[in-house]
Amino acid sequence: MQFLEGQIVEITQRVWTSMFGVEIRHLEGSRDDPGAERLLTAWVTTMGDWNGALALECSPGLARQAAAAMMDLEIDEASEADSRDVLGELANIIGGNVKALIGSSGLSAPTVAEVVDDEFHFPHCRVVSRVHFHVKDHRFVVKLMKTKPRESETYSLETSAS
Amino acid sequence: MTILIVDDSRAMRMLIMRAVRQAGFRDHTMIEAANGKEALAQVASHDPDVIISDWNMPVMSGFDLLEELNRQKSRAKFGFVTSESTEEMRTRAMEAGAVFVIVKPFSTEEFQYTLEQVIG
Repeated sequence: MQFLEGQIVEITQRVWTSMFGVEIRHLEGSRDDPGAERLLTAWVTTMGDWNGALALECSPGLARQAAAAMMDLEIDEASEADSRDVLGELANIIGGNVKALIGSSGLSAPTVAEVVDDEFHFPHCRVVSRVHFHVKDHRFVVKLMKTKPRESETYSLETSAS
Repeated sequence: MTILIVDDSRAMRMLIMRAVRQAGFRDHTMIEAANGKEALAQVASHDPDVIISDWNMPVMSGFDLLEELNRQKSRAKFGFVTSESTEEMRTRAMEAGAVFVIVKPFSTEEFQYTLEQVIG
């Protein structure tokens, strides 16, 4: 079990059920990332005791379905901007709920980006938990990240431990 | 009665308006703003009775909006709908004069219960 995996599953399922009326299934164990050639990723950064980020990844198709459900539109009526808006809001809501568990004092506004054939890499961060879900034939991934300690901090920890 | 919805996400503003209508308040006028600064302009021109605001927004946050409305001695009842769910934040909101805090994700029932207390 990864760090806060149970809580991330509970929060993510509660958000999907209440906002979209859709059940999202947790996929246990490690998985490849969503598998789409194009991915949309949305993240919020956390500050305070936990410096890091919470990021979501999914296909543009799932983001569009979520936008249509949230905005009461037909799927082909939901625009790219709507998809980004909704994925960013999802990152904000899931991040805000996770923030209360990790002792973070601040949360940034969400940022959304498109990634092709790769996952988005956050410099100076390590992935603490990577939780996979399945919804409407699409993968949905939640990643909790923490800033890596600087080399000088690692050195001082090792020194004090010896 | 006029209700002002303040959130930088257009989708979230639509979801909140739908929840307010489903909670039984469909006959009220609802107006929108995408941040605190836009909300102040809406307050100046429409004098809303209730303001439902997000906390984290670009340009001007919901908390800064509430403080500015306090300075202006606004009569509007103010509440937050936010993903910020810590007790510290809730206390800060209430001490600043917010009359409710609804945490995202929310249910229609939460809106119904809360708005019945606030609007009567």
